[in-house]
Amino acid sequence: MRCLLLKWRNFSLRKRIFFSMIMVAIPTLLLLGSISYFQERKIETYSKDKFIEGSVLNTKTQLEDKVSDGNSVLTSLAFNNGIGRAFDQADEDFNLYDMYLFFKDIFDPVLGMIKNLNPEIKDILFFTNSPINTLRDNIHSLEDAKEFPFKNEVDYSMMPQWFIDNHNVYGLMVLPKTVALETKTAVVVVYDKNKFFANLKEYDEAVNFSILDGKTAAFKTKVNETKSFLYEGEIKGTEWKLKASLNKNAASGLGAINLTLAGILFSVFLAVLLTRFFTNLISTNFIRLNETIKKYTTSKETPLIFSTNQKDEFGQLSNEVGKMLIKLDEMNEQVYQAELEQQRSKYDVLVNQINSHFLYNTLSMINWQAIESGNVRISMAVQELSKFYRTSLNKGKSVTSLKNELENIRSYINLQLMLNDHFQVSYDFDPRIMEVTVINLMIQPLVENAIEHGFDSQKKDLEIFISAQKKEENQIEICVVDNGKGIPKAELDQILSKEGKGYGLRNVNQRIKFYFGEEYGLVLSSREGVGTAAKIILPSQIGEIKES
Amino acid sequence: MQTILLVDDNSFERRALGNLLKATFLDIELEETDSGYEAMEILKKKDVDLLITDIKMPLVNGIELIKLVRNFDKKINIVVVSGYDNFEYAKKLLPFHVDNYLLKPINPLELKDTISSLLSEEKGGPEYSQVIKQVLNIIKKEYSNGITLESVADQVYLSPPYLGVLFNKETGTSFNHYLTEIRLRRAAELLKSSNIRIANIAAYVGISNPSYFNKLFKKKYDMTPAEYRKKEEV
Repeated sequence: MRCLLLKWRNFSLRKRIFFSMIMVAIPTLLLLGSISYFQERKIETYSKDKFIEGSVLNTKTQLEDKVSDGNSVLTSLAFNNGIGRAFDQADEDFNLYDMYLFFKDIFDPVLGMIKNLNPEIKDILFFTNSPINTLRDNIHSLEDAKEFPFKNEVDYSMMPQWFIDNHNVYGLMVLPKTVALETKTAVVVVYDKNKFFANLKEYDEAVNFSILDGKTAAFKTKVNETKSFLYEGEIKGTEWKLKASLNKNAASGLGAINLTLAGILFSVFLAVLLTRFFTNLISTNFIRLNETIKKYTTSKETPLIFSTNQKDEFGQLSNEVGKMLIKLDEMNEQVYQAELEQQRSKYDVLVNQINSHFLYNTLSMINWQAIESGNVRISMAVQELSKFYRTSLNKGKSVTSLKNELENIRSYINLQLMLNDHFQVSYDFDPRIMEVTVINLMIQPLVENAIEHGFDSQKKDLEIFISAQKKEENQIEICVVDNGKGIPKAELDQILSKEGKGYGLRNVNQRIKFYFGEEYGLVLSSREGVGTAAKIILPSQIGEIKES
Repeated sequence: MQTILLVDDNSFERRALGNLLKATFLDIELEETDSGYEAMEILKKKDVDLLITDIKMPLVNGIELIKLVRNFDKKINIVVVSGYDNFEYAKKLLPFHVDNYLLKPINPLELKDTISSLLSEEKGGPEYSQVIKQVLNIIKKEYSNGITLESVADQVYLSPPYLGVLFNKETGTSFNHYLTEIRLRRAAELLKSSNIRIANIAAYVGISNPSYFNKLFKKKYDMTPAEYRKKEEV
């Protein structure tokens, strides 16, 4: 549980919103869905029961109507006196003409009329022991009845009897004694079995019917055997039993239920989809804000846009973060400016502390005494020293001309050489760029670095090469190259970025960037045992620059 | 006999500079004073060819003195010798035509060159045009920066061939010859007054090829730089 909570906390906002919404949506949907499912099922079961009940009763009624119709036909034939009388002529020597008349006037019209009225009737047969039994195709002897299912049933009864065989359904009635006393005659209506039970198939999809004649199944709408019966009832006027069972294949009857289930599944799917959509919609802004802030913290260079015209909390948050970062930048800038200001004022204080008038006067005095005593070396040293201080202090200004800066570096090198001439120097200056504005005391730290740190005392033929050249359009490049011991790679990367050993170089780089912009500055390259090259890139501009 | 007036409130400076001038130029009359006020008095009484003055002085300072002098004497040569190279001073003095501005501590060679050219001019020697004066100044100050006829012509807004001809006509020597002369003199001075190796001195004066430097040096001084150094050391 705790682990789960921890995992939950580590999820992204997008995931959390997504899961929260899903957690709200899905159980509700499932609850509503299941309620509706069960309701639906109940209704469907109920209506199915009703339907089945109705269809069973309907089928039964229809069948009974058919039987009753058949009964009516049978009764009307059995109780037809004309027919009865004709069949009751037991004598062998019946009058053929009379018979002819009988068939022409009574028998044929009656049968024709009945067949016309009841088109379902396939045939009407007579079975009789009267001698006329062969006069017509449909008049058979009683013996012939043996081929039919009712072979033993040709007996008197008040009600017609019904039989079924493989193809046909038969309704049978024996002419009553009141009509035919002398002979025994049965009238039989024949129906096509399939047509007779056609209405049993109407509900084929839902209900299976079967007709039982006695104990044998006489008709089935489906071959499949079913044990459980919904309904069992006698067909009035017969000895048949109607049995109804649910059609197994259609029994589930899932039409509507399936629809409900599909509906639930679809709504769950839709809920997930919509949740995703809205989650994205909500979290996009937050993620974008997050990304922008990340970008800000990793690389400060790209100008980032936080302002948005969105009015919601995210929009407000983004705007406020934007404002905050602008303020932060301003504060950083202020701090940076203050730092530089402090550095500069420290420098100013230092410059002012040196009473330059006193310094030059003193040096001048030494110079005169050296000249008078004929010591030209002291005079030269004093001149170089005063030149060095004059160009270094630069009247307290931060910028100077390249000409002055080179004079500074030459006097510095001359003083170094006077102390100890242990290296060879060479210069290569483009005289056309002498008036270019540069930072005061910009090259001296590079040369000092080469002399103090770069030179290996073991190595002979130490050299420093100093050049100032015009590079591409509007750029000048000042190089200080030595063939000293070089700077290890790891140290090289830190010199310009970390405080410490290379403070002078770092300071030069910072001052150049501050005065001329980020694209200018100091570049160091070095190979151990080969030497070091310090390269200053500056804009080629002449005259005052704004000291912001 | 030419008269030089030396004005400096520092007596040590004044005396030392005076001694140097007297030792360098034999036929000069030297007047000296420690105040601008007194300088004005002297100038009224005497005909002075060259005024050498300090800037920072009590009561009447150098700038005020120069203003006053220029009020009644347009021709007098003026050289400022000061510990200050304040740009504001130079700007204030611009309309009053100061011939040269030397900084303390003074380089004797530079002083000698400046004064002698002014004095010879005064004597009716060659008087250079403004542009050639400017060129000579550039050469003196920037000979070590690798200047060429082209770069200097650029600075004075003349075409290099024209400047070359003009330079030749006024000074009687070629631009390159003059530049080499200055460089070699400066080199000679350094050879004498320091133990910096010869190749470094050559580089310093703007001749990057040491053997070429040796050749030029030998041509002028009739001895190699090493020989020159040895000779001067003794």
